[in-house]
Amino acid sequence: MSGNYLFKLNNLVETHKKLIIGLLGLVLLICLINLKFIKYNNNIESMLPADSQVQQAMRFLRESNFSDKLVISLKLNDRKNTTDDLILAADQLINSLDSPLIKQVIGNISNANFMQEMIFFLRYSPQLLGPESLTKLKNQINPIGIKERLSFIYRQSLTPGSSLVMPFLRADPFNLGSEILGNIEKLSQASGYEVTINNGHFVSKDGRAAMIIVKTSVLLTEGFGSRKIVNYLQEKLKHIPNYIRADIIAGHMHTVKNEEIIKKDIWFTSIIAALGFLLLFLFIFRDWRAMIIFCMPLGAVLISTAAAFIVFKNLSYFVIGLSTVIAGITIDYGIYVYLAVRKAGNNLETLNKIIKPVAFGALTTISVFAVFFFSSVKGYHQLAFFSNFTIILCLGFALFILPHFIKEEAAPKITNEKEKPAVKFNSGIFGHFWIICWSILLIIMLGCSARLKFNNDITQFDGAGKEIAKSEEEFHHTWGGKELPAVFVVSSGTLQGAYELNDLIYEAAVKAIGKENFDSFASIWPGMAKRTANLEAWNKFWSPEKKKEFQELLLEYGQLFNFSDEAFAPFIQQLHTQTVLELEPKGLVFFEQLKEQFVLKKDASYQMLSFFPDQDEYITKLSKIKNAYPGTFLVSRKNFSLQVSRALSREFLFLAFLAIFLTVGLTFLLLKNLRLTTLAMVPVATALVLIGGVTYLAGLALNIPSVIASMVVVGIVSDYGMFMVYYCKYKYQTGTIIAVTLAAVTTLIGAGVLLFAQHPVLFSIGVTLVTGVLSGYLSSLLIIPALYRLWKAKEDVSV
Amino acid sequence: MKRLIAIFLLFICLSIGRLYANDDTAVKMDTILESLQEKMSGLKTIQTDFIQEKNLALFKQKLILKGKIFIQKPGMLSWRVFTPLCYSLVINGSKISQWDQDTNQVQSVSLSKNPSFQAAIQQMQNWFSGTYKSMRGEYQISLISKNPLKLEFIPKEKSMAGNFIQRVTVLFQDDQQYIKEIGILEKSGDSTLLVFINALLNQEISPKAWEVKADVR
Repeated sequence: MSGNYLFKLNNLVETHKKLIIGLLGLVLLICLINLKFIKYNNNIESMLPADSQVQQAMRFLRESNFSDKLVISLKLNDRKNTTDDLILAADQLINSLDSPLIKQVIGNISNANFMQEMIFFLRYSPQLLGPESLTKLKNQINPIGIKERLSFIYRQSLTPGSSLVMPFLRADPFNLGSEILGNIEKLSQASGYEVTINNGHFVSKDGRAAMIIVKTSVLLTEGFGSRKIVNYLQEKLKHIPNYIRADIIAGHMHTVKNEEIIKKDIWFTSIIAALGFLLLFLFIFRDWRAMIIFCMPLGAVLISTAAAFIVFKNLSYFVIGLSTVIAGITIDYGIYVYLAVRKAGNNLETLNKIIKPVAFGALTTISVFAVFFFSSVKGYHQLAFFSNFTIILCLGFALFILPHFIKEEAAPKITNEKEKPAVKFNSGIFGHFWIICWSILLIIMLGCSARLKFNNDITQFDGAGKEIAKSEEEFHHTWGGKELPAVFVVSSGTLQGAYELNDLIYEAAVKAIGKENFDSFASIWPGMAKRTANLEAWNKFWSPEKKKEFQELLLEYGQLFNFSDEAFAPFIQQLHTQTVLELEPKGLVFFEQLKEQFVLKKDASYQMLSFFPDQDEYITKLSKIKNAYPGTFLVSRKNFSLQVSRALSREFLFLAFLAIFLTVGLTFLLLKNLRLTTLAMVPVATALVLIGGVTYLAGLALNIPSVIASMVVVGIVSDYGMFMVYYCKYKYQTGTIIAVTLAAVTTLIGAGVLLFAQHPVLFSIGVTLVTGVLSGYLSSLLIIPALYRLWKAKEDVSV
Repeated sequence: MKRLIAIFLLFICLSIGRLYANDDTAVKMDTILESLQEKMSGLKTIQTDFIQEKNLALFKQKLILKGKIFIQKPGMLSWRVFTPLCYSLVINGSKISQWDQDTNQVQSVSLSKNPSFQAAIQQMQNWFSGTYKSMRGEYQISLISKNPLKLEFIPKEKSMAGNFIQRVTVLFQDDQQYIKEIGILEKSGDSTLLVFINALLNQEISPKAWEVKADVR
């Protein structure tokens, strides 16, 4: 900015100071009131990359049947009480649940006539049984086979529970439906949970726990709704008997707990940071005007919050959680200006001296945050907008408003003596000493960094806490389901299309990983094409001669066991009945219940789900099938983390490169010298190496938040490097060293408080920022001047 | 067939609910059931001969089984048929073993791995051990006669038993210490009458009774 423009702008602010302050106050007041109406979200989706596989999996998880359910696990905690007591309490709880938030409570399965339903379903055998069943039947329709089978049926009549099986034996004397019923049994257990049915209730194997499923209209990604439904259920659970412990297991609990922890963290860290800043200004500056420096980032954050809300319609808690860090960064500009004015006086010359490094410092930080606009993660766009808006506002306040408040009063000048110790400390023999120490440290830390591992598990960012983890651990101990199955999803515009495609996938999947590992609805109800083929084969097999032969054999050998002529009438009747093919059987409760688990109706399409063990081996094999059939995809909870991590890693490699390139480029633009630019990059290199080394030594792993924080560190410490090199070159007495020190201290306060955060994301960011900023600051203060002198001396010798 | 039973039972509910009735009949029935339960709760072992008459559509004539039942609380039951064919079923804790004379093979099933089968066995044990009060959720119980005591159990609509049972009648011994007869009328029209003879209560049971292949006649 040329001196003329700066002069005009300065004059303008000076002339309309009161008006500008009045307007600013009004804006701040509106923003403050607006805080009440801001909607926050804790939706993890906004922090996920736009990678198609990741988004597809996330959309599926959100829209599937899993995301709208809460499970209540009731467990007897007194040995004296029985399963009957448990069931009674479960019934009482079920009856008490009545809220518009609850769509359905499933505590027991329908008491429909399942026995009749099963017998009825066996009528579909001709269209469900494949060629192998007909081969088996062919081998049995002979005197030996018939006699053996009738003998078995006779023996069954001696058992105490014969009443249960007789209707089945009469309808299916050859047990042809065994496979069909076996598949139904297998599918009913495909959820991955070990549930038994006791008195119609979902009861654990040991009879000591009961499960109630609550279907809600609240999606687990809705923070406000989640809190409402969780509070409602917790209130109801207060009325269950003392001998029962109740746990709510649901994603909603994580949403609520994460939100609670983040809110608590934000308040806690903000208060500590505010106190830290206040103490710093009151004891170091000892000037009431210094309070303006503190107020500037606060006001900027307030305005940015309102602006970000207007642009994005809601605000991510993670972004707001970082506001103390942003405040810590942006306060630096005020400090630089304040100290410069106090040391060199308030005039255009002083402003001219500092405007370049301060503006370029801000630009490097802006450029680092700006690269997040290139990210496919929507949440990072918000972070970029919020941070840069705050930085630009603070820079403007610092350069054009702050000086006018220091100018009028004769502020006590900070003496030059304060710089001397630091200057001495990094000169001469000390300078060499620091360079040697720094080199050794860098080598050691580089070695440590090389061993650093990358943790790609996104569940590490779940801050739900020990209490929920304990409840879930206990839940899985009781009910199993810790290793939930992966899902193979088939999509089609029509239900019939979905059934047909599901058949093809089932056939291929069974070949690839075995029938025992793949639970598909196709195993009990194939598509129309397959059922038509089965029915044709069945009709062909049961020729009139075959029917006659079969009936004669039954009559002849049935006499040996005193069987009546009508003993197998239901089966014979079926042989003579014409079967009409339908898309689905109607009026069967068990079929509808199973279908709900395996078939999802979307707005304009259908999805059919198949379940398989969530193991890499199966994922690899089934991925090949998925690739061969458009309209299909896999959802693996284990693989999901890997997909997110891969997508983010690809993206962050590019973003990190861009951030470093912009930082180096802007530094070079300011210093216009390659050697000085290299010197200015010393804090950046030191910080990055130290972050890697310290993270490794602390037993932590690198993760996405720490990578983001590292990029922010690059933006922050490059400012220190720039200022120190600028200072070394021009020797302006604008209080650079103390300004850099105070800037580092304020940033460290902002970042350091995150070390007290309970939420793992904020904590991880805190560790990275503190390590990076501290090491970057120390290296800029001790190493840059020493290296500068070393290079300067060599230049002088060579000259 | 095990699978058949398992899948069938998987979907069946054995609803045992609360007692809602408040009228005098209900109170009387409560008293009767409590008294029965109290008497029968003192039983630790039961060994009895039985005759079971089955009127099944499967057979031309009545099927008459004769055998012995051994019950030892908790969790042990031995069902032995001597005529028309030797057959035995032994439940010992969580294990079920079956044997028959025809095949001369022993089949074992783990109850813990067949929770639905476990539920069916539980039903049977409920009938034999007299815990009728807990069955009020599933059955409408009424008094047929006081002396001798005879109760009628009609499955409630849509209950598990309602799938196949129309009515169960239980006739008690004169001293009401144990059951004399259980009659079951199924919805299909099949019926079964189980008559207990020479019931020995709280007497030591021979260990052989728990061996599925042993002759305990």
